[in-house]
Amino acid sequence: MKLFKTIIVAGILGAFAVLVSALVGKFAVARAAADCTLSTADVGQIAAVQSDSSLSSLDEVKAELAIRKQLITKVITCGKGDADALRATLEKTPATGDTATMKAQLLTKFDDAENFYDIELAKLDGVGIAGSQAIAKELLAWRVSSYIPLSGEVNNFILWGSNQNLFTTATTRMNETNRAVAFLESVSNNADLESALADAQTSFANAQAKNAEAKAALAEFLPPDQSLAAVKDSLAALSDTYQKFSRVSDLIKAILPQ
Amino acid sequence: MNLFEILKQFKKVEPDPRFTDRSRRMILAVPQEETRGIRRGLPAVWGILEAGVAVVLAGFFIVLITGSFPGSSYLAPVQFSVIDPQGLHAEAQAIDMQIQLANLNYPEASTPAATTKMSPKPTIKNAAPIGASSVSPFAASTTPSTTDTTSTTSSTVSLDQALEQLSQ
Repeated sequence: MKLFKTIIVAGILGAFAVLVSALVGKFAVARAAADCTLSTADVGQIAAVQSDSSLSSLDEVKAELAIRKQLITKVITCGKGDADALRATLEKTPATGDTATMKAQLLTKFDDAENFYDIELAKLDGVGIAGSQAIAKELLAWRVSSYIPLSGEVNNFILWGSNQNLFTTATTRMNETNRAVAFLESVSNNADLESALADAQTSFANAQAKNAEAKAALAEFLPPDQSLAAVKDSLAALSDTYQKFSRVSDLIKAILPQ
Repeated sequence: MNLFEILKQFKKVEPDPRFTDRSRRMILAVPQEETRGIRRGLPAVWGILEAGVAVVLAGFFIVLITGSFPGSSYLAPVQFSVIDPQGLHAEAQAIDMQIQLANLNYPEASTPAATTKMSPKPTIKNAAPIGASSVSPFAASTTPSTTDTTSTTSSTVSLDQALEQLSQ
């Protein structure tokens, strides 16, 4: 009986511990999300300190430096968070063959980004206002020249990867449509159907060519704007192909006995 | 005529020859039953095989007609999916959604820049709200923080805007 009571108490305590840890985790996530919101008020603290006549020059410098370091630290932490989230998404993106090589190259660039953030964060110790300004400038220049293009490349790679299922489905539909039309044509010729099928085939070949161009743009690490434009072109071409499929489907339905 | 004479005449009794012939033919016309051996089992096995083949063929044609096995796509001349408007519409709709997603791929490009007290205008081309500057729309489900911060308010500044202010 005593053993039974002990088990019951232990079970209740365990459940309570799990509940508390879940709530703590939830609040931690919420706090982390809130921590990555930077407002004009945050940045405006520097101007406020600079214009505070009650502070001595030394106190003003100390306060401004503390604010600058705090804000740069926050920028770096949030920047790393962004990079981690994007990297995690990239890792989940399926890739085989040469696309797997592209994915591996992009993942390596994330390692470089993490290292850069860590180096800049380490530099922040022991610098003055001018040093913190220099770090902010370096971070900004690096983000504009390296990180933002990288994020664009990765987003485009993920987008292109998710398009491949659509192309696979369209290939299956194209094959089935070819077979259906060939069968119907063997029974009786239909010029409209032949023409509609030819249009669909041409459109699909065009979509596939544009899809290959988008892949090549990603593989060559062209500027993200260019690779994104290629990906969009391939999708637009595929959308056009489906309009052609629809026309063929309507004609086949008209031919088949109801 | 005594009884013995009559009994002796019974020995001479013979069937009618026509009746004999007819009876023989009838007897011979009846199939002979094999009492043992393979000859008896073969027809039974053959019958089972025939029935089995018939069932298998019937099943094959039913499956072929309904298109319910992978190889049917190579055999059936006109797949139902080719003329199914719902399937076609669903696939086309998936492409349209992907096009919309591609247009959303750079949310930062269209984000209005926040104003700050310290600097009149940010000059960063790809300025984005903090926490959303580089996260793909595909990553939204894994990063709840990004969805909270993508909507820009008048007091929100991007990472890059903040860095620009901090570099001055």
